[in-house]
Amino acid sequence: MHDALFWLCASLAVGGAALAMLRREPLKCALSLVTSFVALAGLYFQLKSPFPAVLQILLYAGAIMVLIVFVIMFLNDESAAPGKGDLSRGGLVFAVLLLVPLGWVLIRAIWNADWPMMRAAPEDFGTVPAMGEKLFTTWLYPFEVLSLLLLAAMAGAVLLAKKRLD
Amino acid sequence: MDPRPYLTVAVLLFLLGAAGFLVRRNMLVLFLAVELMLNAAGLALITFARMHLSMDGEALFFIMLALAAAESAVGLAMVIAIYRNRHTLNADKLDDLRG
Amino acid sequence: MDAITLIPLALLAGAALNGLLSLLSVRGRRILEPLVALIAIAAPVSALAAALHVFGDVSHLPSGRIEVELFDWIAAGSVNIDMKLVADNLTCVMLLVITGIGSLIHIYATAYMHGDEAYPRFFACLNLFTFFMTMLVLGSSLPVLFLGWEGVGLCSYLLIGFWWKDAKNSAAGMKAFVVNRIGDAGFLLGMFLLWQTAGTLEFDGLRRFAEGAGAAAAFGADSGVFGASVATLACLLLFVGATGKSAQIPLFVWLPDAMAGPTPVSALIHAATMVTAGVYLVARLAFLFSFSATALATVMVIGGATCFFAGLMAVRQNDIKKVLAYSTISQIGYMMIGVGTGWPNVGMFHVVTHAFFKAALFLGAGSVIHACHHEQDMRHMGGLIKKMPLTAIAMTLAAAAMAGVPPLAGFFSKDEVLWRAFATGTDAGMFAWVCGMLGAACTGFYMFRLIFMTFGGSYRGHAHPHEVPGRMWATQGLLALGSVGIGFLAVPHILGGHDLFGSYVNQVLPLWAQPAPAHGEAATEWLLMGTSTALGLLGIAAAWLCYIRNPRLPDACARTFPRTAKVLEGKFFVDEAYDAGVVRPLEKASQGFFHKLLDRGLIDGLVNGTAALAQGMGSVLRHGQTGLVRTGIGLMLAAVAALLLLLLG
Repeated sequence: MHDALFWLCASLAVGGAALAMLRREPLKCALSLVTSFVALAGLYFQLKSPFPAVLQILLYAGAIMVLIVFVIMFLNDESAAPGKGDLSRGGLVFAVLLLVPLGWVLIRAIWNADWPMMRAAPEDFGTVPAMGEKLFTTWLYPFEVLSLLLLAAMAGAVLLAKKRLD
Repeated sequence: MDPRPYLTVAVLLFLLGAAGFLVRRNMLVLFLAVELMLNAAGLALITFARMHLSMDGEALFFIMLALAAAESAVGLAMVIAIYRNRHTLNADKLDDLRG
Repeated sequence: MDAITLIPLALLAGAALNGLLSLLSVRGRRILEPLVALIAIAAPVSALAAALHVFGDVSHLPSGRIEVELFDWIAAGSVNIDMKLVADNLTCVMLLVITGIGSLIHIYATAYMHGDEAYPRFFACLNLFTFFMTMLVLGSSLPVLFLGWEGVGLCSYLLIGFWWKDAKNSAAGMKAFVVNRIGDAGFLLGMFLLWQTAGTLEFDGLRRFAEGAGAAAAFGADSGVFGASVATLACLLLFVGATGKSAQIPLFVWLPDAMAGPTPVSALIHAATMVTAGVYLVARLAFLFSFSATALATVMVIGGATCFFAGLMAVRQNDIKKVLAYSTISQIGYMMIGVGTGWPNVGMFHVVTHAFFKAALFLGAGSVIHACHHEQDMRHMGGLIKKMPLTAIAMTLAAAAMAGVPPLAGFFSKDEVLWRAFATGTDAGMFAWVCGMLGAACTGFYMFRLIFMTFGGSYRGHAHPHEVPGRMWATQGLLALGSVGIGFLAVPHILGGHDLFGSYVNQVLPLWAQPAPAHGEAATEWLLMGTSTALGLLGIAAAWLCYIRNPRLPDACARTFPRTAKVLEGKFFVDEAYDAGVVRPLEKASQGFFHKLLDRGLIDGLVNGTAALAQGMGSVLRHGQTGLVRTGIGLMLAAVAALLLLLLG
């Protein structure tokens, strides 16, 4: 059962990602990617991390992808889209030449590596209190800086996208 | 449990994102590719967190998520600005630095 | 400060001061002249005083020499050459000639060059020349001598081309310098060979080496060049340098052209001092030449041949200075014969006497040229004895001295040379003797041809000649008197004298030939003396015949022997031969090969090629800048991939 769930989520994740990169219309790409992200959330559940899984759905699939879909629909200009020449042949060749060996090496390294024994996870692993404890102790500083970052990002986005009134 | 399948999925997702970035020309799709790569990294983080039973990895995942949100906001604002100026979503048309 | 150091220093100071003043007088301020003249005369006169002091010291010191080390000059590994000045008897003789006659010529020049716009520069160069000449004779080693040697060559170039605005003068200066340079190549090679053989270039050191045990073997060893011994090769190479500096065959062609310089320059450099440097060199290295009979024979043969042929060339010259130039070449031939006999003192004595009468003649010629408003062709002179009596007397005395009229100086010096040449008994010596005898006849002829054409008959020119100012006739007069009296320094034994000069100089020079012939051969000596004098007087008589008694005679002779006349007038076409054989091919080679192929092709090609290469590489690499985002990211990924492959692969 466990295996089957894994295979489902994994294939959805990889398949969705592949489709996202291959489809012509950006909207369809975005929606495929959403599928992939939800599948990833499933994978997180299986890794005994409920809180990150929910965060994935809420933030990534729910907020970031929505924003992207919004922008795609906002900039719905056929003439501006690359259209026929969307896929770069040179880039494809380069990608294949580079990433296939890289992938092979990495996967081989993963499967041949000596991983430590995985133990059973305690009950409160991956839950909100556990995460909160980490965030407000070890990772307090980055957490606070993050809020600043979000503020800056907000201001920057507004400034950049604003229509010039001159 | 075995981390290896999860890590393989992460590698595959990352490679797909990289390939997509190198191949596609539409700026928004390029954006999607970047998000995909980030997610691959996230999967790897969670896997290792589970492996070592340490919440540090998951905290990092949280931070990375927030970062991705901020970055996507700013990035999409830039795409809109570029579109306003150049009326194109074709990244290849933006080659002013061509030697 | 030793007196010996003062000699070159005073002259250098004079040159420097006048050099600075020459920068000032660009606008030709005439108030400057007296100051420049004062400095210019003070320098050699102080040097003369110092030289007399040194002469006195050297005579009284038991070692017979003064040595002063100035500083370490070259210190490169095993090569250690010091700037050292040495004065012994031979040096003193040369010093007195250089500073004494030099001072008189400087005084003459201050009047001769009056009004010239580059007055200070002239005296700066003239003082500088004298400085280098003193360094040449004071040098304790061959390199220091060479320093002076090159320096006088440089100053000669500067002074010959003094009026450089006329391209002919610059060309003459260049010719002098280049021909000298060829000689210098031989000099350098000779120095290197000596260094390699003896390990030292100091005259002391070489002398000690030569007197040492292994000398005969070292010097006699086969040098690998046509089987000549080391000594022969070294001496011949050094002698090549001497032929250049002293205008002997084959490198004499620069001296007649050098007459383009102002006449005091010709007097000082090309009569009295620089051209005798080669003779001094051979005399100084007499101990070395004594190891090679071949070298000595060569010196005598070349000296003899030059003496005769230059004498012939002088016979048909019409420019008064050119006659004197060829005469100089011829007389130096005598000096070379002298030092080649193995009795170098006779050559050196002729140096001294020649300095007097040749300088007097050149200064007189300068006066004549000055008076005739820069006319140098003797065919436009004549009858000047009435207009310039003092100059005429001085020149006639000097000419008579040169021709060997007894008891004037030239008689004593020339006769000794010829007697010693005959007495060596070698083939070379006999050849030199014959040439010298014939040369004596030529000397008498061309010298008095000059006198008669210039001062005799009636004036054929267009100017208004007059006697020259005091400074000029006084100095040339003094020199003429010197040429009368100086001979008595070396009256030979056969005439009852003690040969003061010879015994003085021979204290430092080795004698290799057999000792002086005994009284048993006195008859031969008298006979030879008489013959040479008679030949000289015969020449004078012939000149009188051709130029006073029957002026149409020379042209009649020329018509009867047209080809001989042509060859003589053309100076045996030596210049033309050199031009065709050496100069033209060199020019062609320079243009065609060195310029076109090496300079433009290779060097420019390399330089331009490097630039083109950079440009080419740039235009190729430029294509890497696509300006696309994916290129940048792709490269990043590639780098990471490479790293991972390295770590995990």
